[in-house]
Amino acid sequence: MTVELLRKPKIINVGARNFHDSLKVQGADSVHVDWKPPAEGDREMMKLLDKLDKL
Amino acid sequence: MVVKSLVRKNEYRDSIFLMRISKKLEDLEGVQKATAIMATDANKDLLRDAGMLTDEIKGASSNDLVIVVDVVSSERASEAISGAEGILAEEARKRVEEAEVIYKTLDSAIGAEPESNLVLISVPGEFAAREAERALKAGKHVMIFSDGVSIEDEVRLKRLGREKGLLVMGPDCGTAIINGIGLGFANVVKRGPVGVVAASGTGAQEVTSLISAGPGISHAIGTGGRDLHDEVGGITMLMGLQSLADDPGTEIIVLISKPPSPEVAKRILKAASEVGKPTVVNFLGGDPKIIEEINLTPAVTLEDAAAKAIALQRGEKPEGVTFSADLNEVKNTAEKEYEGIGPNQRYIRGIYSGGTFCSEAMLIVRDLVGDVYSNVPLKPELKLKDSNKSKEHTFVDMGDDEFTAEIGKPHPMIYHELRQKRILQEASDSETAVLLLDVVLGYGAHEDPAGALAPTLREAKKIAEREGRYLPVVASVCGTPQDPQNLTAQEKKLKGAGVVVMPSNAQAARMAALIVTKGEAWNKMVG
Repeated sequence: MTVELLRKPKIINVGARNFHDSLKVQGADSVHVDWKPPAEGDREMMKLLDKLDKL
Repeated sequence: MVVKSLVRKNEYRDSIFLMRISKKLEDLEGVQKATAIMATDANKDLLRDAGMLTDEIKGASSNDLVIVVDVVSSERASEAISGAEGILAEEARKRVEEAEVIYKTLDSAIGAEPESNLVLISVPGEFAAREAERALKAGKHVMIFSDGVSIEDEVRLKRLGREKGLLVMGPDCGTAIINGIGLGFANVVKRGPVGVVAASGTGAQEVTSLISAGPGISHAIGTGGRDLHDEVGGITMLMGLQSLADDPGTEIIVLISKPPSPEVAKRILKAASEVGKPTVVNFLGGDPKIIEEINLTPAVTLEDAAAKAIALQRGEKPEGVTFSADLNEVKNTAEKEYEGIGPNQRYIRGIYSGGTFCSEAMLIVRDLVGDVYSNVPLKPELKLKDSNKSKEHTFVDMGDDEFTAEIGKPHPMIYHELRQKRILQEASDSETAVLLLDVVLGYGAHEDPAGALAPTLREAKKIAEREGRYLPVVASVCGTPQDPQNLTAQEKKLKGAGVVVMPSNAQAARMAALIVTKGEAWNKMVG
């Protein structure tokens, strides 16, 4: 279940940039997602996009 | 005063970065208040309340970054605004220099990094569940640092994770250490055979830091504070426990939580007893009997849990810790402090950045000294009417939402302004006998918390002195000598400011109780 994770975490950081920076300092395997609210934060539009994704 | 703003269209920045900008601007000469935030409707309301909503910001959208300053003169205002532009430009330049691939969305990152196995999510709470679900569906474990996720979403995500054999750490999971890598707020700990599953971030930090001085840590898996509630049923703690059971590098297990519901406790303890590895359980404030009955090792404090795990690993009999230094030395230190306090100084004032530290200290002090008022009380009737005003023994958790939700009031583990104010306020109160503090180190925390607090603590002692009082200050520092802030250096800075520094949060609480009772609590502690 978590064997691979506990052996070597390979991280995608979504949000606070400083967490990614701390991971890099530790020599961890991390990539950063420069996250922005989807659909410019428009909830209705977000729901619509999520529906489209499922199709 | 002059209020001036800057709007950057379609520029999103995370809240921690924005706090840094706010702080840097507030440090500029002539700046009364400064805020860098996204122009959401809620934030605009907050700006209006603070008298900082300019026409320009009224027209901004939630996708726009706004910087607003309240400054003594328009000249200073222009300087502050160009200062902010400079910080943003510098940040952008750094990113280009690093020439690192930065993804725009989680989906694109997953597509490009198929080997990734853990997604760390710290986006605003309202969006966190959406990202977590995407990660789980792509077969990734998740750690949700964000709070503000509904319990319904938590249950849904954790069930989905369980179905797929994926860990969901959080929401509101502040700390995890996976194979030596600290995620979120975590300390630099020695690698070793003790594994931790914790429903409290600061709880995990204290236990892993203390064990780091002994055999060391294999992993620390966070669950988020609500995992052991009835609705969630301890899904992540059970999966975390199983992970450590299967992990050949883990010999001893420590479980940390506030007391779970009896039903969940039963399930967790049963699972723990079937693992076949010695397990220490700290259900803070819970009944140790149910843990003993099932042949696991109960611990009453976080430090106890660490000490017992170390003892078990060494094949020794696990014993509790009251004070780790020589008892005479402890007694002498307390005596020196309480000799100076006057008859009117009767109360302990605890000013905390870690919620679990606040709860643990209240549990200890309650048994030694009596009821403690708080914004996060042990009993509803001890809730402070106004969290900004102390009553008798008062311990405040300054990391609680009511303090951090206000505009420009970041978490006290990152910035200390609110705590500094409160320290000075308590110092001016003639009934304050002892100030009690926690200081948290590690990744994520302030770069030099003791350095930031020491001048305030000196000032606090001076305020009391001017009014003819002596003010004892007791603190503990959670961290390790390997942390970026360096435990030893941080303790030294506090000691230099006249602070009695204890080796754990629990011992600091006992020392404060000893001082406020002028030694009377001694017999209750050591007999």
